[in-house]
Amino acid sequence: MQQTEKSTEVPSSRRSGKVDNRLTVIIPAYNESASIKDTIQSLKTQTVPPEEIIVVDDCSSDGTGDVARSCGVTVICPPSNTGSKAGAQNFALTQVQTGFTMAIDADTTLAPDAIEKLLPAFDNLETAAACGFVIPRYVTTLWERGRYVEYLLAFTWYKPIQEYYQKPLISSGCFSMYRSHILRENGGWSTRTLAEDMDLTWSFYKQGHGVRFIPEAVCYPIEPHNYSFMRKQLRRWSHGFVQNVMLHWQDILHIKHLRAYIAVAMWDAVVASVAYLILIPLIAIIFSLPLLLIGYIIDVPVVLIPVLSAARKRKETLRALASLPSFFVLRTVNGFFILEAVFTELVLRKSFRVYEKGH
Amino acid sequence: MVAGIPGTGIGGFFYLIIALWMPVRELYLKLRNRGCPRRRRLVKGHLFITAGLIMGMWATGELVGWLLARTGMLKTGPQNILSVAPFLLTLAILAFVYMGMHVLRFCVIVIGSKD
Repeated sequence: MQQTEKSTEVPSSRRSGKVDNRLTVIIPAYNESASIKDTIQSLKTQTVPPEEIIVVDDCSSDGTGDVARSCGVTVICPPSNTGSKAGAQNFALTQVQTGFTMAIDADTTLAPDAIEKLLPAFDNLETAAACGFVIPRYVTTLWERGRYVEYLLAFTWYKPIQEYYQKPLISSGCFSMYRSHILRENGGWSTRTLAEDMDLTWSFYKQGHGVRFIPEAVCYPIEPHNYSFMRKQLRRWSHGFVQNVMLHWQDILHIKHLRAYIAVAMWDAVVASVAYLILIPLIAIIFSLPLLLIGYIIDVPVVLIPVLSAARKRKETLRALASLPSFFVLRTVNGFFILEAVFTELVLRKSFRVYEKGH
Repeated sequence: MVAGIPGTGIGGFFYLIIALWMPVRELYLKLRNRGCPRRRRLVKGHLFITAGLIMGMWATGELVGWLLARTGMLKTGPQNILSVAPFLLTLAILAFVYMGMHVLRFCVIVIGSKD
C-alpha cells in the first residue's frame, strides 16, 4: 500500500544516484547445514538479486559454514557463539556497506520476486523497515498445520488492518528489510529481549520512523515440526512479547494505534489463556456441563472466513480446512506459555534470557 | 492477534470495529484527494471478509442457541445466543481496556511533567 498521505515519497524510478539502493542480506546460522543451501539459492535467483549475502556461521558444529561457502557467499565467523540471533546479526552489520540490509533466517526461502516487491516500500523516506507475508514451507504435522492457519489468519486479516493504519505490530524477524543507516543508528538488533524483531519495530516507531507490511512479498520458513521445537519457540515468543511490553510500555502509550493493538493483544492473550486452560474445563466439570467445551471452538467461523479467503487465493482450500483443528490445539497449548511468561516476567520478575533455537 | 499469541476475543472484536471504520476513513481521504487505489483494494477486500465475519458470528449464535435448546439448557426454545447482551458485554470490556490504556497514558504524562 502506498502511503500517499506522506509527502516524503520518492518513486524508485526517480531516485537520484546519491541514494544507495544496494542490498546486503544477513543470514544468521547455527547448525543450519540442512536448510541454508535452499535459503541462499532462493536469494541468488531473485528477480532483483542482492549485492552481497553474508552468512554468520555462529560456531556451528555441522559444517554450516562450508555449505554456505560452497554456494559462493561471504561467510564470517564470530570468535565465539554470540548466544542469540540478534548477536549474530549485529556481528555482520558492521560489514554492511549498502543502503539496505535484509535479515533472513537460515531456514527461510523467498518467493522469486520477494525482494522486488519489498523494495518499493522504501520509496517513502520515513520507512525504516518492511516485512512480507509468511507461510510455512512444510505443512504436515499438527504443529505445522496449526501454525499455517495461524499465519493465514494473522497475515490476511489482522496485519493488513495494522498496515492500513500504518502501524504493523511487528516486522517479522524471519524476513525483513531495513534502511541500513537507521538500523545502525538504533544500534542494530538489541539483545535485551528474546524478541529482537518486536523490540526493533517498536523502537523505530518510538523514533518516528515507519514500518511497512507488503503482503505480495512472500517468504517460506520451516516451522517447528514437533512439540520439542514448538515449545522452545512458543516460550521464546511469549517471553519476548511480555519483555517488550515491560520495556516499551511508557513509550508505546504515546503511539497512536500501536498502543491499542498491544493493549488488546495483552488482554486477550491473558484472558483467553485463562479461559482455555482454567475457566472452561473447571466450569464444565463443576457444573457437569460438557456442552461448555464448545467454548474452545466457538470462534470457528471467525477464524475460518479470513483463512479460507487467503487459502482460496493460494489454491489451498482443502489444506486449510484439514489444518483448521490443529489451530485450536496450538492456540490452547500457546495459552500455557503466555501465562507462564506473564507469571514469570511480571509477577516473579525473573527475566528468561536463554535463546533456545526452535526454528 | 499476533502469531504465537492466543486470543480472538475482544481483540477480534476490536479489529472488526476498526475494519468497519476503514471504508469511512478511505472515503474521507478520497474526498480530500488523498485516495490511493491500492489502499482502496485492501479496504474492499476487508469489507467482504468483515461482512463474512458478522454473518459467521450470527450463524454461530443460531447454532449454539439451537444446541442449548436441544439439551434443555435454554428454557425459551431455540434462539440466537449472540444477541444484545454478549455484544454489549464485549463492547464494555473493550471500552474498559481502551479507557484503562488512556488513563494509564494520562498518569504517565502527569508523573512525567512532575519529574
